Amino acid sequence: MTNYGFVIDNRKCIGCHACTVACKSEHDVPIGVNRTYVKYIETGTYPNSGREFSVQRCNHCEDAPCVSICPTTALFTRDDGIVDFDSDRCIGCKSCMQACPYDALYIDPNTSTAAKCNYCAHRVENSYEPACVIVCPTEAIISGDLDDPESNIAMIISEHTVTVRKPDSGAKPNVFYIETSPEMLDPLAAPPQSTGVWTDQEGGVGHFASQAQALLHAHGYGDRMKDVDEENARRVYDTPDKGVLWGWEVSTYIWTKAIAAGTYLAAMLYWLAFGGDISGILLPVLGISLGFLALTGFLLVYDLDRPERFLYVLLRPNWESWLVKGAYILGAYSAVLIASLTVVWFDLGENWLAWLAYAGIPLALLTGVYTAWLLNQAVAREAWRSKWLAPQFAAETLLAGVCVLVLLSEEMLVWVIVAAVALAVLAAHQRRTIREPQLVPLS
Amino acid sequence: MGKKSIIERIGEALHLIPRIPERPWSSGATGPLRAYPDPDDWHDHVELDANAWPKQVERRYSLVPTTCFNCESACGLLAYIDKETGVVSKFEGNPHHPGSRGRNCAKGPATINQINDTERILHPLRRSGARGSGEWERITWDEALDEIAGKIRDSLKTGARDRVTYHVGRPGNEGYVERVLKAWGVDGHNSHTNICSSGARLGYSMWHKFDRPSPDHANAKVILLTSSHLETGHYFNPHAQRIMEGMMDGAELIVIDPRLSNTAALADHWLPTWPGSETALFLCWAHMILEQGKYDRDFLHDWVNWDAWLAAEHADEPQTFERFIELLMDEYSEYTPEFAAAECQIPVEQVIAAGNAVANAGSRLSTHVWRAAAIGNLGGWQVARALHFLNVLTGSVGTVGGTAPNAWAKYTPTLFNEPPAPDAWNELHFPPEYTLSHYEMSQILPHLIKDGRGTLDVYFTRVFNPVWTYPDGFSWIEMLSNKESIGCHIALTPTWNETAFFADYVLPMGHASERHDINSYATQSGKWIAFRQPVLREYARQQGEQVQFTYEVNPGEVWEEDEFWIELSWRIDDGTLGIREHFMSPYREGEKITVDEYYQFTFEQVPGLPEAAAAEGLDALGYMRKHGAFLIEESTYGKHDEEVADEEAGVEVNGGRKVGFPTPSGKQEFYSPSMVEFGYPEHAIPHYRVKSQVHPDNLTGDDEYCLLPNFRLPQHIHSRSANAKWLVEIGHRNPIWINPLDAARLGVDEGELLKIETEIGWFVDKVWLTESIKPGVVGCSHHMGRWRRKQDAGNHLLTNTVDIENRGDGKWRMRTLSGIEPFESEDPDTSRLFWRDGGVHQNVTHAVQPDPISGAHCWLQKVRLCKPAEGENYGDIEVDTNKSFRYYKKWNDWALKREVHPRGERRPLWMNRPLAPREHHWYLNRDEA
Repeated sequence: MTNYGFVIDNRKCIGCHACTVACKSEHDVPIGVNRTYVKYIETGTYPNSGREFSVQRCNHCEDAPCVSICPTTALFTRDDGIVDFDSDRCIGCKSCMQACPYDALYIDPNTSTAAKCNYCAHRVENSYEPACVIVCPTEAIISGDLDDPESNIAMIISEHTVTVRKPDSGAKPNVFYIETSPEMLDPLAAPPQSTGVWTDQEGGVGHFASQAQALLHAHGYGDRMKDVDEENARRVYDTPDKGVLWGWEVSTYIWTKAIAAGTYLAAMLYWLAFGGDISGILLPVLGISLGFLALTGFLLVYDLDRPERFLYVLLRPNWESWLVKGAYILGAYSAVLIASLTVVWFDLGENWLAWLAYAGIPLALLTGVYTAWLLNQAVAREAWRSKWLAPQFAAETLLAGVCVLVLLSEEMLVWVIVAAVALAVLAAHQRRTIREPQLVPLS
Repeated sequence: MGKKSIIERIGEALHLIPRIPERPWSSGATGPLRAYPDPDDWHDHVELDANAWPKQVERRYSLVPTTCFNCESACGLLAYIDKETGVVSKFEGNPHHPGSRGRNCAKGPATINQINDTERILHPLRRSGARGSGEWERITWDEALDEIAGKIRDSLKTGARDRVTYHVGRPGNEGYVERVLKAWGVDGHNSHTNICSSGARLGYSMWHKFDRPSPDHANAKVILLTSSHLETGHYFNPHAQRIMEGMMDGAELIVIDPRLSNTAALADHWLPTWPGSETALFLCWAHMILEQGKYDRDFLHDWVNWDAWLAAEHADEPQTFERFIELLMDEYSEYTPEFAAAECQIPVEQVIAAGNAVANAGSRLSTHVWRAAAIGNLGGWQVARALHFLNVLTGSVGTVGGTAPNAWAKYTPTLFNEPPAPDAWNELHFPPEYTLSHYEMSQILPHLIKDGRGTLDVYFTRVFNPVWTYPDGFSWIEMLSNKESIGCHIALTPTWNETAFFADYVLPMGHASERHDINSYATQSGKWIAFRQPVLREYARQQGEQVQFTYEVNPGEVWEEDEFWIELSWRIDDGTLGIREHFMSPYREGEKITVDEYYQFTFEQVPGLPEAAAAEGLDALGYMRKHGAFLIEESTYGKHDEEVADEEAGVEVNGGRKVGFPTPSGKQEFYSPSMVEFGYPEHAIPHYRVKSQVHPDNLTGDDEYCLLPNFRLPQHIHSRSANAKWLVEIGHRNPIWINPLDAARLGVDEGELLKIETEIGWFVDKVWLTESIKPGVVGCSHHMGRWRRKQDAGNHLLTNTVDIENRGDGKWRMRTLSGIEPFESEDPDTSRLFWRDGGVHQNVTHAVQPDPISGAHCWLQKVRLCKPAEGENYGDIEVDTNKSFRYYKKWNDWALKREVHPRGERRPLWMNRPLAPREHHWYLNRDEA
């Protein structure tokens, strides 16, 4: 079975950017985003100064996290090892960009769909090499079948010591580097800067290309640019930063979802487990849950770069993705809420409510928690891989619900204020949970 | 891997979601991947549309070869002409091109950006307001030709032969325009060479008349560069390929540069010498080679004019080779490693280590200097002369892995008609006091004119942007704005540029895929030619369509010079000037030549080409149209050692007659009689006698530094890459490189502003802290800092908007009103510019510094650094052109003081001169002969 990969021979790379431009030409890649590019770092103190270059792009991982998380199988791994993509299926959810440990994907501003190096699959189809391989003046990019021991690439790998970017990502990358320093491969060794030796960035790219006129600070870009640490390596050329991709829409929907799930959950638990009386607030509970669930759904769709394709999550499902599983959970939970509202509206009796709650309570919990599992799947973000994320979301769901119940029923002002403040703090905390990990450089 | 899920199929069937095709789960590749389509398929090459993928949409292309126009190397390109739309959709490499071998640097594929630039000049323009007002009106080619021809005719009819000139930046062709100028009878060729390579050229030509090296990097044992050919320059791509091949085969790379270039970053030895001290280093190594006995005795004995030196300077010594060696060792004994280390300000251990490597390279020492130190420093030509000395000593001149003269690998076309040499000597190009200047004194043209030495009636600037690229640009603006100085200025250019803003006519000429040229460059051992052709014209011809003029197929009315010159020359001649006879078809009696006939004839003369073409059933032109390139000679080593039949020709060596070198002695001239005769006896043999203008002895103040402005970016070329969006997004600004030690002393930090004062003005730029530059030296690339004024058009991707104020009395002020701004156009990308910083135009603050001996402009500037004052902002510039004129006079005086004309000769008769006039003009006071 063919298994395509690359070797980047950094004994030979001269940092000329021919590969960058050949790829731009081949795929008409828009300004600001790249399928492949050359990173420059400088190390050392004069006269022992050094500069290194390295080509970076999609690693065509054997266990590609982008493929696992993509809700619509827009990203898929082929039999020949190429991780390809179909922009007709992409809904622009940007989960792939949260899952790729190597920051290889971008949102194409022409189509608002995700894109990346696809090994020039359209050329491979007719037995031609990728465009970057052909143009390189020093033949520093080698392509071929890793699994064929007679192939050039396999022999090069067997004859040299090779390294990969982030070997512990679990993705099993298939781009191998010869003589590439740890300072180059580790994104934190030479953190990104807002200016380079020949460049500056003052506008958005890709997803944020429409903000080309405005500073990216509004989207968290400014905070990302750390000061130069002169003791270590320094990044002196890099492609522009894509900014924070999941912004207020995502952190807000997590908050509205916590309320939607938590309100019903807290109310049902209070009634069924603790024998509390919720008869007075039943309609508002169900109304708020359903209302905030609708708001959640609206925000989920609004966040998509191709919102008109939102149905693809349900109808072109990748069952591995927690976006899909979550969508079906939301669907089922809303069905329970609608049924419960119907029961209450037409006064069909609380037994029906209790029966529905057997499904509703676990569904509400899942609704509140599933995003944690989605974030777990976004393996690029270290902080989201934590096993404590799910319990955290569960606790937040319950807390949100309790606060809403307090607001609905409590008469003492101090408790009302406490509940409101708690909800506000929850929102701020969720914003930080979503935003902060996206500020850690990946490449 | 499965097919679509059931849910999806149901969803599509119910029309809830659109039907999309199944993705391909594996490839159709039928074996190992190949690089290039078979040339037999080029007429009908099929590729799948990259953006429709994974839908398989076939696109049919006709692949037509041409060459890149984004530097001198003329690397091969294949233009992919989409058969459905009839336009070029991309460029890839041409595997047939012996220099580039199918590969390119970033500038090659970026050519498509330049073709599709939404701000291209598409029609001939004539100014409708005052010069520089930015008001233009569109005219026809007919009007342009008639009007310009009339002005040239008027000038020629006065009897003047030096008032119509052509000033070229990038020639890109072999011999075409020189022939045209000769047909007009004018000594009218000017170039950019003396701000580029004339320092190095003089150093080389002193040895063997050949003024350019061709290093055989791929086979070298030691590669010694004072250039940065793994980063940029020409021949960047072809040399980088072979330098890397050599290194992978074990060659040691030594790079000499005060800045850590990308090349230096890959070197085994990086020697950050103080600028201008390189000659001391090389002479130290020369002495080490002699001391260690590592010199090639046979080569020195047979091929160097050691006897001339002994006879002239050591007449009382035994005139033997052995004595020569002894005296040589004495002569260079002052250049000890300690001396070199102190002069260069590098550790003596490094001097010795690198020197040993060079000494042990034997015949496989490939060396290169082109711009760098040779064009940076007063006396920079000494660098090239000393560097070549190392090749002479090690016997690596023209050897495998050594350094050959570039002329051996360069083909000079035989043209269909050669008019006589011009009957004039243009003293605005070759003033008498610059007796050894290699190439025209182009950078002091405004100063010579200001000095009353002449004026021009008609002045063509061609792919040439002196207002921006040259030092002291405001002096150029003054000259170009003055109708008394320049009667008519015509800019021939593919894009707008700062010089075109001040033209009377702006005529759009085609880019790499839109013009005809023949190229031949010494990129490696071996001689090749390549063909640059208007690919859509060739495509039309393949489709059976007749095209008379290239502007019929190019975008808008973009034309090409080759046809323009034919038409213009025809119209200049009213029947009395004898010009038309030089433009007659060699195939059709009495008819005007066509561009196809020009190349048909030219290619028919290329050795081996007609035969190779016939083997494919083609004629010579057909072969070049199909393949784009032809290898004339596989390798070109040791041509000096070839036997020559004629008893009168060549030089006698060891009893036989050999081709030799084209010097008066036929040998490598260690001793230069010309140097002595023309008044520079201290330079009779290679020495380090001239100190750079930025020698530490000349930097007296605490705040005085050396500014290194002449380095490039890997993905740009001086003026014409400004509209290549894929290149500009990678590089668009030029901060000041400064070592943290210097920054600390000045009290500036990363990103802060610094005021750089030159001899004639100042500019304010941003600090770039880096360990990659020698303390005491600051660097700023002269590739960035493009501008336009509010009234100017073009190049919005890379130009700052500036305000230029002429305050009178020579005082000029430029302020940056805004950086680079996104804009709306047919290309959605132009509204997505994420950058604002277009850098600062530092060149305009540089004083002209013409080396009195080589004529080269010495780029490095002595500068004073400080923090800017209140009101001095980023991008602010001030220059005093009166100061720059006085400064020019000071340097010009050095040439005047040493001006000597033995036998009344203007310059050595054996030395190259572009567009050489008739012999009697080579003597002063015999012009009226």
